[in-house]
Amino acid sequence: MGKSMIERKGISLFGRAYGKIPTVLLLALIVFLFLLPHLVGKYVMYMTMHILILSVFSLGFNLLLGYTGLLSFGQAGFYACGAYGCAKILLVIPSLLPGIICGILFAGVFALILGFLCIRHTRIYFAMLTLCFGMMIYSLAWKWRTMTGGDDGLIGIPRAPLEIPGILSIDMSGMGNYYYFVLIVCLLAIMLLYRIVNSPFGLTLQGIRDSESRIAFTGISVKNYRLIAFTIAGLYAGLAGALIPPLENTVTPPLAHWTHSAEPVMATLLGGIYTFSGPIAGAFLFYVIKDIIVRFTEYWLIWLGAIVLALVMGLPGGVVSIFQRRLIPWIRLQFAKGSPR
Amino acid sequence: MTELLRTEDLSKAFGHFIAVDSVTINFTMDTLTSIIGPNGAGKTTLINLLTGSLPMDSGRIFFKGEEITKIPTNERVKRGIGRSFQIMNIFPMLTVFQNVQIPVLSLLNKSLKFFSRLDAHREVINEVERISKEVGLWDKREVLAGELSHGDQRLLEMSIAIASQPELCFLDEPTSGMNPRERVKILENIRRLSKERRTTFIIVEHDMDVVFSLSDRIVVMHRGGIIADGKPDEIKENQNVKEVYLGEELEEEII
Repeated sequence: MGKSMIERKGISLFGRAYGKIPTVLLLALIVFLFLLPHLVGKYVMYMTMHILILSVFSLGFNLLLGYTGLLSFGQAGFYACGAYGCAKILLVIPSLLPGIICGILFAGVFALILGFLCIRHTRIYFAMLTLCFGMMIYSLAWKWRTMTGGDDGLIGIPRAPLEIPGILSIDMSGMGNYYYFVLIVCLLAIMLLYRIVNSPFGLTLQGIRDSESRIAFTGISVKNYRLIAFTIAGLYAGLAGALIPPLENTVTPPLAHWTHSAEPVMATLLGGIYTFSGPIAGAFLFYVIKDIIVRFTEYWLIWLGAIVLALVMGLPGGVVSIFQRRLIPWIRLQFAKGSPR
Repeated sequence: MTELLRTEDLSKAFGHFIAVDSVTINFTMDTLTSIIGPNGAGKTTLINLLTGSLPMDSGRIFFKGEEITKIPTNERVKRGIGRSFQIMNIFPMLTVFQNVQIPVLSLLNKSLKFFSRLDAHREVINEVERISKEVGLWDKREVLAGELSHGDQRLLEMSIAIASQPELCFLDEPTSGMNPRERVKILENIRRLSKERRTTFIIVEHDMDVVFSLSDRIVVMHRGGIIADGKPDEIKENQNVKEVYLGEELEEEII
């Protein structure tokens, strides 16, 4: 088995390539995230929620870029659909689940419709079409004042309780409970997507990424598969967006702006395109770097852009590739040295 | 002989250049046919039209008696038409195993399984193993396709094509860029698959040794049209072919 194969196949091969080390690290991370509210203050919790939300947003985006070979610049449009959809419901029905579900479905329907128009094209044409449609959603959010509140956005959105009639009712007004809700929803979404990308459907998407003409000669309808991938990415953007209104109590048009679409792009590039965990690592780095830079300058995007550029040029596989190439093999070696023969 | 594929007045032009000019031809089951001709004769364009890779300007195509003229590529594949490409066309970032797994999943209607594990489908694994062993790539199943030698990539491309279990398979220059040892390997595979799987191969090839040793029938194209069609011995003796296409060069090669 060639070394480069392990490096390039991402975490789907972790189990075979590196034993149980990644599983142990992953479980430790999840335990840490569950203990976090007892260890840190509200600000770190708030930041962690944003990292989790950006992770989900970026993972959906990377289903298109890393797995299907489609670069979308319009994901913020679906993110905003999720946010506005959830906000509108929460303003009428103060119950968290209907709001989140409607936000996701609203974004999914938009993704399905716009995807139908976009997936006929590839490369720069696809990127430009998604950018245009994303900005159309931004314009709608900006101009359709009666529905979206225009440039003021929608305000006073309640962090409604999580209710399942007759079964459960959890108050979400405190930051802690909502943190656990976001954590569990995001973990479930991540696990679900992991299953999808490692399924026959996920493998077929990778085939489309590698060779569109070859895949057609295996009997696959490239357009249909692209449309499904686009819709799933839209649903994930919608989920990420739907988690925002209860957290921020407001939604505004910049959520749909193309600069917001750049966030999952940067997170994915930072973490690594061809790995499942890349966008998650990238989301973490994105917020940490941003948090440090904004303390010194309001022009944080320039510095962040420079850092992303340097990392992309220096580490084309993203930061996850350091773990794959160096850290995990090193840990494994230490374990091997220490274990009795 | 049972008719497999038939065309009626198939034509394709790129601007003023007529690549395929009113071609009417039929291919029968179990007849290994080679299509030869000089560069620009229209061989690859003809294959592209037959497989749906290119839209035609006019004409009709029938496969097993049914018209497939307006049917897209993936549907033609489902009906039993496969192909390999002149320029290498594999999934370079996937392993050899995964390259063969994709068409097998599609063949067994399992590509749209969203939540099942890739190793959950035993019949898929078995079929991939069988094909990989058949063509001699099983030992390299975990290697990335992009890192294989040129010859192995050609073999892999053929494996992908036959994994869809086509009744009719077009191979576009299957031995191009291969060393003699690799060439023997791929020719053996074509002969064996042709007999064992009863796949009817149609080959576009420039290497005359390959063409005359392998083919039951040879079709010669020139300037978009067919100038000769017959058994290898007939083509060798065809004055038209000698004069118009092959000239003295072929006479030297084949005599």
